[in-house]
Amino acid sequence: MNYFMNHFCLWIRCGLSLVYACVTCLCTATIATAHEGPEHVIDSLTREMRLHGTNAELLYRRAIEYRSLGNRSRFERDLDAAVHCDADFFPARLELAKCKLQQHNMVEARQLIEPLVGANSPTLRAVALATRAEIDACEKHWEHAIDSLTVALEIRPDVEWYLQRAEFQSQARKFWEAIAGLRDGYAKMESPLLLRELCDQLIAVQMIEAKRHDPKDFAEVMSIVQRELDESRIRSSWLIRRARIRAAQGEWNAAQDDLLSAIAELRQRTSEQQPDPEVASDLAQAQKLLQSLKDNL
Amino acid sequence: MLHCVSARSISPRGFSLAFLLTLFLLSLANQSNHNLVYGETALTRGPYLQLASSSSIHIVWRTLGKTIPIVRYGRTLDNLDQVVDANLILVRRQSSADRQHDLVENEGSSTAFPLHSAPKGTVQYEAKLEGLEAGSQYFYAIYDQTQCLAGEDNHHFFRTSPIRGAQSPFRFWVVGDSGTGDSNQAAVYDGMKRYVAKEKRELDFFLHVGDMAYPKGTDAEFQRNFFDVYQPTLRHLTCWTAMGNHEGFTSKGLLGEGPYYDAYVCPRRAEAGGLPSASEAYYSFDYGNVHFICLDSHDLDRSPAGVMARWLRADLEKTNSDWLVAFFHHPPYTKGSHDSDREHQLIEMRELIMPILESGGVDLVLTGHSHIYERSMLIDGAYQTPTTADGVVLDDGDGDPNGDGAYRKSVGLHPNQGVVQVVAGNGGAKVSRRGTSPVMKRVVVEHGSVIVDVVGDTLSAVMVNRESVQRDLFSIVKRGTVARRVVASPKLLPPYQLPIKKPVSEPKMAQGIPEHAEPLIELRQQWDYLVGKHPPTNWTAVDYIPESRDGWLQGFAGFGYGDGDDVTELKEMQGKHSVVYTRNEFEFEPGAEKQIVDLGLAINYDDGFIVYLNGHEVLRVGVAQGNGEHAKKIISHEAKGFEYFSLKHAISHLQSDDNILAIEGHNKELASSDFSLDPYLVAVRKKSGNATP
Repeated sequence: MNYFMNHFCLWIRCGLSLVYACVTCLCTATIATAHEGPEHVIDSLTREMRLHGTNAELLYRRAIEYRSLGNRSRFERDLDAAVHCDADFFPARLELAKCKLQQHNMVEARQLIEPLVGANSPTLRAVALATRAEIDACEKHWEHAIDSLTVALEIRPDVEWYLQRAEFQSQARKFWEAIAGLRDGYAKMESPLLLRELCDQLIAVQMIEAKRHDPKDFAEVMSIVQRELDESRIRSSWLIRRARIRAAQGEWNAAQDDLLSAIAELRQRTSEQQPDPEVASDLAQAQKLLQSLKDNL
Repeated sequence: MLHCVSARSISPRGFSLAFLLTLFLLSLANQSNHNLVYGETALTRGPYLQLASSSSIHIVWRTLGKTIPIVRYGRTLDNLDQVVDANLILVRRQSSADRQHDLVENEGSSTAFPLHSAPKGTVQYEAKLEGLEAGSQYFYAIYDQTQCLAGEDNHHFFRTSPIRGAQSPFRFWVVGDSGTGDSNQAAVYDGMKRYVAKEKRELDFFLHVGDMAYPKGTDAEFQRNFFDVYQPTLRHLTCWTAMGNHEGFTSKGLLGEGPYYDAYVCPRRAEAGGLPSASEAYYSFDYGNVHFICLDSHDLDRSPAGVMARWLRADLEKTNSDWLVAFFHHPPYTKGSHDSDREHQLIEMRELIMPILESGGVDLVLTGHSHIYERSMLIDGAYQTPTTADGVVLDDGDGDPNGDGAYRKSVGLHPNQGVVQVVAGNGGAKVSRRGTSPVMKRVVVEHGSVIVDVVGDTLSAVMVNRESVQRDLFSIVKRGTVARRVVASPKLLPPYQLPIKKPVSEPKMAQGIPEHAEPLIELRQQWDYLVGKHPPTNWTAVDYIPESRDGWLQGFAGFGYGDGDDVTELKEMQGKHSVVYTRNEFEFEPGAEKQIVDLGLAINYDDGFIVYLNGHEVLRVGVAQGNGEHAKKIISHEAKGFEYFSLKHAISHLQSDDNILAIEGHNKELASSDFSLDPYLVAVRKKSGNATP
C-alpha cells in the first residue's frame, strides 16, 4: 500500500502515456521527411508551413519533433498553436492536456479534455475518460476518477487502467472493490502486473483490516507468492512479499531470512552507475522492513 | 480431390495450355497490384508465418473477396493430413462503420477486430495450427474450400521452435529500417540470401527492428515494402517485429490498432514463452536456450514506473534461459542518422530501460532507427548523457574470435556482466553518419543486415553488406565464471570528422530561382561520385547501385579543383581525367511528385555538364556531342557563381519514392587548371491555399 502511495506521481506519468500514445500515432505525414533526424524534420515542416501555410497537423508534428529534442517550450508553443488553429484536432488537444496536467494546471487540462469525453469514437472516448480520471485523481476526487476508469474499462480492457483504478479505490479505502477489480482484470488479461498488484492489495488489506492475522487470511496470497518464488529466477520482490506475510503472522525469523536473501540479491543487481529505480526502491523497502523486524525482535 | 495451381500439377501434355494460362494469370496479377489470382480468388498477401512456438504456429493470408478458408498441413509434402477448418480460422475485414473500433462478426468461433485500412474487399485469415511436434518440419497449403490458393509445394513449409531450453544451434536474421521498397532494400535482402546459401546454413527465423514500411506505415506500404519484398522468406520463416516510428504514423502501440497490428500476430498471453504482456506492442518469446524480448520504444511510456517497464521486470524475473536478447527500434547508442545524446526516445531507452535490462542480465540488444551499422564493445552501465566510455567498458576488444578474441561472460544470466549493442538500421534507407558513439567498436556506413548464430555457449553475429561481404564479426562466449572487470582506459575508435569543409571562396548565389522554390537536393549535400573510371551505360538509372568496388565514393558538393570553390577536392583529376560522374537521390511520398509545378537546377560549373533525371537526359550545357568518355567539343566556361537552369520540361520524369539526379561534369582539357561541379536541385509545389504563418 505504502509502496503505491509513494509511487503515485509515477503513476500519473504512466497514465499520461495513454495520451501520448494516441497523440503520437494518430498524426499523418504530408511531406517526405522519412530518413533524417528530428532537426531535418523540423526544418522540413517549417519550410512546408512557410511555403504552403500552416495547419494543426503540421504544428503538432513539429511539436513532437521539438519534444524529441527536449525543447519543451517550443513543444508546448506549437501544441498551443495547433489547438488554436483547429480546436477539433484531438491529438494536439490531448497532448496539451497532458502538458497542463504535468504543470498542475487542472483548469486548463480539464477544459481541453472535457469535449473529448463525448467523442464518437469509443477508443478516443475511453482515452479521454482515463485522462479525465487522472485529473480527478490529482484533485483527490477519487470517486469521479474511479467512475471514469470503470467506464473506460467497459469500453476497452487495459492493464494500466485496471492498476490505476485499484490505486484510486485504495485511496478511497475501497480495498475489497480494488481486489475484485484486479481479480477481474487478471482473469481477462493474465497480466503479471495485475497479479502482483492483487497480491499487494491482499497483503495490505489483511494488514489494515484483520484484527488478528490468522494464516487462513493469507492462504490465497501465500500460495500465489510461493508459486511465483518457485518459478522465478530473480526472487527479491516475492521474498519481500513473503516476508511481509510472515511478519504479519509473527514468523519473525523466517521473515528476516527472506529479507536478508532479498537484500543480497538486490545488492548484486544494483548497478554502480545508475540502479534501476525499482531495484533501489525494493532494496530500501527490504532494509526498512528488516530494521522494523529487528526492532520487534 | 483438391486441385492446386502449382508446377507439379501441370502435365507435360498440357504444357502449352498451362503456359498460356500462366501468362494470363501473370497479366491479371500485374493488373491487380501483384495479386496472385487462382480461379476467382485473388490471394493478395501471404501466406506467411507468425507467432511460432514449439507446439503451434499461425499462418496468415489475405484474399480479395470472401472465401471458405482451410489450411492443410502434414509432415510430408504428399500427405497434408491435418486440417484447420474455416470455423477455427480468425477472419478479419474492414468494418463499414467506425472501422477502428467495432468488432466484426467472425465466420469462425469468435469475433475479431476489423482491419484498419486494407483495400476494399480485403479479407484476412489467421489460422492457428496447434498440437505440433517441437523442432519439426511441416508442409502446408491454404485453400478456398477445395481450391488450393498456395502451398502443396516445397516452398510452403515451416519448422516449429525447439523445446524450450534446448541447446540445438540456430540462426536468425536481423534487419532494420528496410521498408523503402527500393533497390537498396532488395540488395540487402539478396546479400543476406547469398551469404546464407554460401554458408549452406539456413535461417530459422528473422527479427525486424522496425521501419519496415516507409514513409507512413500504411497498409499499402506494408504490402509494397515488406510483404512483396520478403514473401519468399515469409512463407517459411516466422518474422518477429518491433514497431518503428514510421509505422507509428498510422499504428497505435497502446491500442494495438493500425496496419502494423493488422500485419503481425504477436504474443499477448505468452503463447511462445515469457510472461503475458496483454499487448502486441511488447512481448517476449523463447527459442531454444534464448529468451527474446521485444519492446515498443516509440509510442509507449518508457518510464521505470510505466506498465511496459514493469512488465519487463516481471518477465526478466521469470526467464531462466541461457541467453537474453532484447530488440526494439530506437537505439540507446548511435551517431548515425540519429543522435542518441539528443533525442528523447533514445535517451530514455538508455537511461530508463537499459538499467532494467542490464540488471536482468541482457546479453545482446538489437535496434535500428539510425541508418547505419554500429556495434559496441562489451559494456555495462553506460547510462549517462552524453554517452561516455569511462567506467563502462568490460572488454574493449573487437569481439572477433580471429582478432582480439570473443567477449567472455559467465554461464547463465547474471546482472551487469556486459551487453553488446547492435544498431542495424542499414537495411535499405539511405545510410549516413554524424559521429562516433564512444562505446562503439565497429561503425560501417553501408547497407546490410545482421545474421546471428547461437551454438550452445557461443553467440556470434556478422554484418553482411548488400554485396554479401562480411563486414563485422563478433562472438560472446559464456563459459565458467567470469569476474566483472572494468577496463580503465579502453581503446576507443577515433573521433569522426564530418568530411565537409567550407570552400575557400563562396560562389555567388543563382539568379532567377523561382519564388517559393524549395530544395529537393540541398546545397552542399552528400553525393556519390566517380572519377578516373567510366560507369556502365545504365549509371543514371534508379536501380543502378553505385558500388564502392566499382570506384564510387561519397563526398559533399561541390566537386573540383584549382579555384578554391570546392568542398570535395579532386586533385587526382588534373592532368589525368576530364570527366566526373555524380549521383544523388531524392524521394517523394506516393503522389507527391504530381504536386511539382516547376523544377530547376542551380549549378556552379566549369566547363560543361549533362544532367539526367531517372535515366533520362534532361539538360546539356557546354557539351556539344556524346556522353561520358565519348563526349566531344566541350566549350570552355569559368565557374563564377551559381547559374539557374529550368528543368520544367523534365517534371514528367519525376516519380513516387526514389528519384535519381545524375550529372556528368566535363573539363575542356586534361591539363586545365581548374574544374568545378557544384549543383543543387529545387522545385516549386502547387500552392495549398492555406494562409502563410
